[in-house]
Amino acid sequence: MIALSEDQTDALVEIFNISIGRAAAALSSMVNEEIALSVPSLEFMPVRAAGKRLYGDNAQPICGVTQHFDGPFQTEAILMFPKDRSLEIVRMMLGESYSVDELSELEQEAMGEIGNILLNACIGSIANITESHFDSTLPEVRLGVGDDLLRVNDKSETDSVLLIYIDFAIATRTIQGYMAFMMDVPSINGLIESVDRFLAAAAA
Amino acid sequence: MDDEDEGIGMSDRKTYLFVDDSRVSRMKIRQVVLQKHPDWELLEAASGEEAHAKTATAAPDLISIDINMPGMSGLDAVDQLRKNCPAAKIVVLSGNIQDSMRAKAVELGVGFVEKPITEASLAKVLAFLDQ
Repeated sequence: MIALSEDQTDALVEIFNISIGRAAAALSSMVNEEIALSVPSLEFMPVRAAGKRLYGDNAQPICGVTQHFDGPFQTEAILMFPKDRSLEIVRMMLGESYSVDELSELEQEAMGEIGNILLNACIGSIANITESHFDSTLPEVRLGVGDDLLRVNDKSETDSVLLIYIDFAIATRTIQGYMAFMMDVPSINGLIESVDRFLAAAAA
Repeated sequence: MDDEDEGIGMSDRKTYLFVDDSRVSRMKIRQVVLQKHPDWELLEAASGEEAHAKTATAAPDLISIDINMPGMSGLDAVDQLRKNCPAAKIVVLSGNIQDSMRAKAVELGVGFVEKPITEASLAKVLAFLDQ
């Protein structure tokens, strides 16, 4: 198991705090509401436990948007909202001038674009802080429960990941969502190198 | 001197081509721009390739283009768009906020505005018409 020093953990949380703040600002301007954020949580765990950590035993369908980012480290990034609230989010984004039928037709595409903007705001911010560059896949919208969304069932039981996750809320609507970033062991090493560069620059 | 000769005013009708693979983003752009400029001609393209085809026959005054799209990247499409529309102001309008992307936009001599699409971000895009 990879161990992070106190300084590395602190720096990693700070990098994600800043970056998630950027994503939250983007979401706030899209839906015209204040966004409440949690402190990022970091956990090493077997890959197959990641779904349970994020969703618990909750079998509620989730609308997830995933993107794979490849730079100094690789990460599977995912934005999640409860499926039964996504139409409300799309209405907040597009305004009141569309019928429920029109909004339903646009729902998946709109969630894909929200995911694209939020995940890119977060990873883009990390790239800027660590003076690096990431390429990404296009966003993919997935509907499902638990492990279906993370597609961890095809991974080996012995694979470990670093899971970094943050919950956020559109407070006035009691809509809660999550952003999560999953990294396998080779990627964790790349992440740690980025963190060490950040620490060295901060100390210079 | 009439209004049209005085530069960009409220009555100055423009043609604006926005290139984005997201239909909701295009809807949002249309919604916000038409509120301010109901007489403008708005053209849409969902990819760099489609934008290239459209600009073979149309001459927009302003083009905004996303970066991450299926097919050609928005940044790769800029050269072709400039050849087709040498007078157009071109602005990258993207959620890919990396400094490396901004630097590429500067290198290409085009503007850069961050998504999301809001009245404020589109005001920045339209302001490139005054430059």
